[in-house]
Amino acid sequence: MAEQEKLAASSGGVKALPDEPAGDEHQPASPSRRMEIATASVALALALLALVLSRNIHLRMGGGGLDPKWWPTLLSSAAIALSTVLLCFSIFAQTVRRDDLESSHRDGWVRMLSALALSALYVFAWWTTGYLVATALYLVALLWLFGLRSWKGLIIFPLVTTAFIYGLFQILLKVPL
Amino acid sequence: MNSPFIKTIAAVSIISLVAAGAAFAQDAFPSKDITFVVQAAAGGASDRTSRAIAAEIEKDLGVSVIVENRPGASGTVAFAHVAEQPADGYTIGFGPVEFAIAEHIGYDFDRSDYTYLGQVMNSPVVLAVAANSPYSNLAEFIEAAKTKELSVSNSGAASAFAATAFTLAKMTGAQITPVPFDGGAPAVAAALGNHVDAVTAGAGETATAFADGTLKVLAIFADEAHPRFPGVQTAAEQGFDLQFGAWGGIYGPAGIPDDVRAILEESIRKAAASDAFLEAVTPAGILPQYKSGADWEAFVAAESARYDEVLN
Amino acid sequence: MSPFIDGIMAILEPTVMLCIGAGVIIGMLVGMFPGITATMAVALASSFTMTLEPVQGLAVLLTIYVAANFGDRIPSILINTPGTPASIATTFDGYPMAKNGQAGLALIVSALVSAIGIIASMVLFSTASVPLAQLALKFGPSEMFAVVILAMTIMISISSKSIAKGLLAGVIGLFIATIGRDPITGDARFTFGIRDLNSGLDFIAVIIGLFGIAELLDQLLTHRPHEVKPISALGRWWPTKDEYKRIAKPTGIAALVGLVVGIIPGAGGDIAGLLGWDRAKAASKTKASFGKGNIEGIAAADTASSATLGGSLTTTMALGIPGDSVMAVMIGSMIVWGIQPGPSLFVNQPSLVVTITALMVLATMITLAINLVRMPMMVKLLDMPVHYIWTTVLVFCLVGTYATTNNMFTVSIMLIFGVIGLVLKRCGIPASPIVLGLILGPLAESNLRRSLLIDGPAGLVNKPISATLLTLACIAIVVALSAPILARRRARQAKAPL
Repeated sequence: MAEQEKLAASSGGVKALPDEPAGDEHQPASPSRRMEIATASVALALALLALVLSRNIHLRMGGGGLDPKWWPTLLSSAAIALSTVLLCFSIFAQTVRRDDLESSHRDGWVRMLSALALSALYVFAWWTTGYLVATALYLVALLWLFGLRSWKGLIIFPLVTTAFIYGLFQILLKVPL
Repeated sequence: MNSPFIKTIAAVSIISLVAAGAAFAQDAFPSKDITFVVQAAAGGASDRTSRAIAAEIEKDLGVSVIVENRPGASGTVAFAHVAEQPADGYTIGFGPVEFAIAEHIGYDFDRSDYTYLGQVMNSPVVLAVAANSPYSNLAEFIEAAKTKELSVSNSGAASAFAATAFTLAKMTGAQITPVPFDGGAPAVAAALGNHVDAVTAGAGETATAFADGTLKVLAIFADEAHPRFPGVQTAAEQGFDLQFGAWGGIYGPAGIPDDVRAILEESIRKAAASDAFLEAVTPAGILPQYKSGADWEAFVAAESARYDEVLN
Repeated sequence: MSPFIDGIMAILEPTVMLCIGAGVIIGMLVGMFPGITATMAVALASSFTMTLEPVQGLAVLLTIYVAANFGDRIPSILINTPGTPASIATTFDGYPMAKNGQAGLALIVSALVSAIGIIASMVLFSTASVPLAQLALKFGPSEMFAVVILAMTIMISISSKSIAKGLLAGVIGLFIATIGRDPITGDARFTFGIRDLNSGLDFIAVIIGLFGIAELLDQLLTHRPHEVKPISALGRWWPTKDEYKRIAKPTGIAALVGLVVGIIPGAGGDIAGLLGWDRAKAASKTKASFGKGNIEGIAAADTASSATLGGSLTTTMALGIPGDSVMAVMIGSMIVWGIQPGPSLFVNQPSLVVTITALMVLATMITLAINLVRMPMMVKLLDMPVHYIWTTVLVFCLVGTYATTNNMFTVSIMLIFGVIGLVLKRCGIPASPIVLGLILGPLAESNLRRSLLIDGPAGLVNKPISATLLTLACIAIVVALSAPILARRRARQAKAPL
């Protein structure tokens, strides 16, 4: 039992699934034309939105010449041109290879999203309950999420880290946390 | 454990309480740490002034005064934060000239949300030119600006420094183009390199170059001469009655009870007059300048009316 | 006695040594911690150095300045998170090297060339400050605009995979930089009534999000059990003779770039690192592997950004105008100690100039020695199981970002940009042009508008420096755009006969 826990602990908590070849070091992401098209389309839509927003900047003292609208307008127009080019590439050209990226997997998604949710919760908890308690609990929760199950680690590591950061900021640098 | 050590500590703390003028009752103000919110990042004139004042209040009231930097949005992030805190005197902050400016440049800021505890400093605006510039006093500069357009750099849009240049132009009919830079140092550098004809800046940014002789200071926009600029006349002395400064004081949320307010005001008055405060701020070109809470509040209202005219 | 001996004697005191020791510790910690910058540390330290003797105080502050410049490379290389903005370009080749199993080599090379950069710039500081500072004054708004346009061409060279995507990323960065108050009129742009947006998106929060958090989220998403973690496979530490030869040229080029950028007020280590990396790439025989873990890339980036230290010290001491934000804080302290920066300082107090130079060099040597000795321990930390590393990185990034503004809004911005960074990464849009856009955008717009306010359109072309630089920029854009097309054609021709 303890052995198994140790194994899980040293591997980031994701237990090897039977359908995934264990020990495979590099699993490149596969190229996807659909994603390329989606990327370019979203970019184009955002660029158009940016152009509309740029034209609607409220000026306190009146405009004319190179007013505050000018630079954002230039940039959003450039973005429209570039995303149109990208859209054409994504439809007509060869799909870009993505072998510099690793492929994602379901457990990874769960782990990533949970970590983000915990971080958001932490920001909120820090704001309401103060630094010390929130940080220690956040660290315990993260370690648990990433697969640590040893009691010693779950208690000592958060306490030491919380204290170290507190000492560095509050005491050494006099930055209130 | 009834050691002499503990007795000594008790005695010292009682004496310090008495000396601080605090009441004997347990819940008398102040009975816990005071938070002092600064609207700028560590390192600038506001931060320097605030830390010096905070250190004096700490000595005077016998509690810790913790300085917290909350920069952003022309200081209004810090102002809004203080306004939201309980009005018990345990949260105070540094109120710079933006108190008179913020509402006129589109910020959600209301001067009546605050208790004014006293002005402590002023950093007068100066007009300076490079050493090789043809102008040597304010009148010459204005005369020249009536025949051709002169550019005057400043540390940023909608600042006291930009307002000085605008108002000077309006007052005299001179053609002055204020050019905002990203901070006082690049603005002064532009004047030194003759990229602009002059610069309006704080005493702190110009004093070093003035002392070294690379910068000529034409006028100080204050009511009296500045110790860091010997021999330089004020604008009023040269016939242009105009005063601008980056002043600052201490404020808290609106509705601080009168007894607490009195303790804080007194402590701030003493701090602003202390030698330690003087030594900390004058080298940076900042002049200690005290006004009581009520006087400062009236001054802020007057300044605000003035900036309303300049900025809109 | 000669000023040289006086200057050296001033620092050979036990108290000064103690101050240097304190500075090294604070500086290294601050540099390594993502978020807090050398500026912040110097500002906070200056409140307690005020009461010290000038030389002791300078020892603390200058050493923090130097040590932070070493410390910030470490997280760039090991976890892709720049410790301070000055080490953005370090991530380009440093992190890929670490991923290729060369973390030790990257750390050693980075420390060595950082020391070379600082010492080279200090030689210049002590010998040619006054004339160099006059050169700095030549850079007004129109010249700055020309420099920035020249720097924009880097966008093309750092978008290795797809130029269109790289340029789009650059434009995204430029656009994001317009959020906040207009630099000339003070009008609010894209703030949507949110108060905190008025001062723009916090630059440090955005880079930590885009580099550090995005990389971490990507690992969380893709990490598989039993995977060999290449970083802990450190590889060798010291460069081979051949590698020393390879890094000589990029180090030389980058040192020159760093010196020039450092002297210009308003341009600091971040821009220098990027420009140095770009120029070294242009001159390299192994262009293609830049950004994929090329030892020349990390040497160039770190030399250039370290060489700005002496440059900004030059502007500060010889003009009395702070060369960067750290120096802005230090000028305040110097005046308290009765030191009056300006050209006459070099005439009236030559021994102080020697003292400052000696302090900087000594601080550099001590920090370098500590770095070289301590590196293995540093990297051992990465041998910890991944759950400790991930947790530490997350909490350090969050707390470090919070400390920059004491504002949860800034922390939220960092997390949001972490997610944006992850999405962009998965879509193949590179993050580094975004950061380049963020740095250059405000400089480009505000300097152009300033220069038009002062002289009108003629001001851009009738000044020799700006006209020359703008011409160079045009040539560089054409060359950069045509290079990949030519390369492809060449490749096709080479293939054809087969």
